[in-house]
Amino acid sequence: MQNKTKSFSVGRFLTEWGALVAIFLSFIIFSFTAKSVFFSWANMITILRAISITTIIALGATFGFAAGVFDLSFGSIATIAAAFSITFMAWDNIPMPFAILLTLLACAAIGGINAFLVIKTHIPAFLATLGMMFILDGIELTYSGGSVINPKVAPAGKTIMMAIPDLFNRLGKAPLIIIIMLICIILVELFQHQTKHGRFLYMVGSNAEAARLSGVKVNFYRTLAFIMTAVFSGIGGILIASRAGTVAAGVGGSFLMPAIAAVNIGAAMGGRNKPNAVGTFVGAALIGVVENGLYALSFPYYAINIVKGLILLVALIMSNYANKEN
Amino acid sequence: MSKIIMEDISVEFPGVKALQHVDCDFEGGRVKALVGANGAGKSTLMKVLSGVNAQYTGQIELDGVPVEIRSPSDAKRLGIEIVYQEVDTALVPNLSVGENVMMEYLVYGLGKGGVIDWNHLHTEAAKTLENLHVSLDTKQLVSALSLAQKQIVVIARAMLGHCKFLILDEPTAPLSVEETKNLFELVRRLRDKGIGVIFISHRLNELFEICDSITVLRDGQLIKTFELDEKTTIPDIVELMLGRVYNEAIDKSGRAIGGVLLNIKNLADNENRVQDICLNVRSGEIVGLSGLVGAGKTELCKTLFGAFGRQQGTILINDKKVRADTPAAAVKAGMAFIPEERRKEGIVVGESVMENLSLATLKNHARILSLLNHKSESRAADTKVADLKIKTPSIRQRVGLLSGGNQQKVTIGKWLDSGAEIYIFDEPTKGIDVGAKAEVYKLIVDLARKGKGIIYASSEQAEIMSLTDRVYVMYSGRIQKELVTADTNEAELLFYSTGGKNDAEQN
Repeated sequence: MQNKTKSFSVGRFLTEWGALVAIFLSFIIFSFTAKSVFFSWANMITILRAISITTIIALGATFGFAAGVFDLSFGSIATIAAAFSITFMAWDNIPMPFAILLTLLACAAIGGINAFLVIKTHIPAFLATLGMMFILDGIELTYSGGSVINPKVAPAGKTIMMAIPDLFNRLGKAPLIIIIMLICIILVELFQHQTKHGRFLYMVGSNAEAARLSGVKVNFYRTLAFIMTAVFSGIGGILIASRAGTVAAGVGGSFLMPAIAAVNIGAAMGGRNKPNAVGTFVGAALIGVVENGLYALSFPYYAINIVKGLILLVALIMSNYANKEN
Repeated sequence: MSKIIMEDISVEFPGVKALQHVDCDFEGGRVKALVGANGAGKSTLMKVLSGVNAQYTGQIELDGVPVEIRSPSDAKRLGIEIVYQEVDTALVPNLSVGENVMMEYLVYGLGKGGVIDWNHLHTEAAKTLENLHVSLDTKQLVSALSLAQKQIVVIARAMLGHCKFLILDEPTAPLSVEETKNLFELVRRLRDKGIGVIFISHRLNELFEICDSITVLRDGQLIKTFELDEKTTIPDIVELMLGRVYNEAIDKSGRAIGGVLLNIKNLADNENRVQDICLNVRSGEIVGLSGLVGAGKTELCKTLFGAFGRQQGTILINDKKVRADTPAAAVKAGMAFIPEERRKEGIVVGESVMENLSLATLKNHARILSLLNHKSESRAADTKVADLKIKTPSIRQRVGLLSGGNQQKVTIGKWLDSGAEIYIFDEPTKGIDVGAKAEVYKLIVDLARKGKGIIYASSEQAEIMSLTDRVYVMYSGRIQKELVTADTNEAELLFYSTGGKNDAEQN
């Protein structure tokens, strides 16, 4: 067990386990206030399904945050992945496994370009990926002709070569989407906390120069972070396409901010104080539970973002407090 | 001519007497050198004069009138200006030369409307530069200037007021020979205008060229003030700077000095920070890199370790040519590096003692699929903590919370099981207390006893004398001299460190 030099304190407990406590409290509150709708097995599945795409995309973002490179383009990568996966099948007649593989390879390549820009040209990651975000959005719009991609309706100059397989559509529904999410969480958690590469990723994020002068290949781990961010965004994007059946322009962008919020709410979890897979899941779950509960209470739809913002701010204030106490 | 008389100046920091009863005077129209070893009190004295150090006791008189200098603006009002070695900190890089020279006007001189009179700004700035006989476009951005030009901008700014005294803190350290010559001409012109120049430098041979008189400080006390004439020699000054010779006894027994482990030929980095480096290290041998701050010791260490990328020249380890153009390659080739900036480059302060101790050797604790063996990792960390006597409540403690000495032990500890043959230490005892220093020395000797080759860079001559077997003295990015420690002394080290060339020059 961890050797705690300080005795138990309420503040410390709240910062480390606050997200879980908040989920628990929200559960109790919503269960009483919106009893008929909220507290049911079916609704629990709904919540898990609803947070799964955010969680998977956010898992990718944990790599960037861990290595200290902030990627702003991952929402747009998800959009591209959604568009590619569906059209590779419908327009280009590529069998589903290859379509998915090709999509993920394309995403990895985009991550590689991000890494190249940041490492070789020394542009700040935030700005380099901002540029990449615009480019990707533009590519997607050009590719789709600006309209919603519907695999059943061919745009001008294209023909529908293949109907989307049923299995692809099932990927985005419960239970498969939840199982995929859980597998991703376990894999990322194992990678980040049980392997050498995960450790180095965090070390590079904490102090790149010390890591470099200890023989760690810093640029390799930065590249890895960008690629992993892009691949998980790609998985998220494929699930977006599979769940909706169609791809609207900029659909991935709506996951950017919730994903960043989930990573940062979860970072303080368990006193780890760094982005991690399980914490990210808890962060996404907190947002999901509150959102779902508020819907159940018929809370005004347009005001829900206000609550999300408040959750993020409280979480950040608390983790800041934790850092200070250390 | 104006004259400053400082009388009985003392400055005390908690536990340190930085200055003790120093009497000193400076005259307009003369250039006075201020010299002393590291920590002698030169900077403290100048901080008093420039108002940065308000906590002094004693009297200061300017032209016969007692004055109080308790803030930088006091000093400015009296006409005392200082140009620090790091000129970049005094300039705003993305503003023009004119704006930087006229900073005072921009900050205080704009009047109520806050409207800038650009014409006035540029003509005034140009006039000032002209008075200094330098041609610089006032509309050019400061970021595009060379270091020497930046220095001139700072000096020009100082001249704008009614400057009577100008303090130059190691102005020539970053300059080339040609740039130094130009600076000296500028200094002479200022002197001829009646400005008193106070010149701090470690490069003793320069002093003869530019200074009229010299004041030597040592351990916070004034040792001697005298006119610089032909009869004075560098060794005379060195002797005054060092005074005593002290040797901390370090037990270096039990080592067997073997064959050449590391052999470097004509090493240079890609930006010529260091050039023509030839040195060798035998197994079990402790080789010193001596030289003043800025002589290129750190740069040599980093070049060798691949931190600056691809080098020129050859590096042979055990007679085999090795590639060390990245730190990772250097580690693979058998090198270990303990950098000078411990908290920035040596340890990851936010992570645990264990994670820091395994940073360089994590692959030893990785199994299939690079999964970590946490048990073997923590066992190795426990062993190192016990062996190195690292004082920490647990290996899970964040390393940033340890004392400086214990942090340094962690930095050394991460290499112990790396199989490195050559250990490069860059000022490893900087900022750690006396007790921890002795422990670090012992660790280094222990490594040598195991047959490792040690490179030990330090700007403290006493440390080099007591720890090393052989020493290379660096000056201006080159090796000035190779000496056998037993046959030399601190004075000789300092002589070569300050640019002394050979015996002929000593007369």
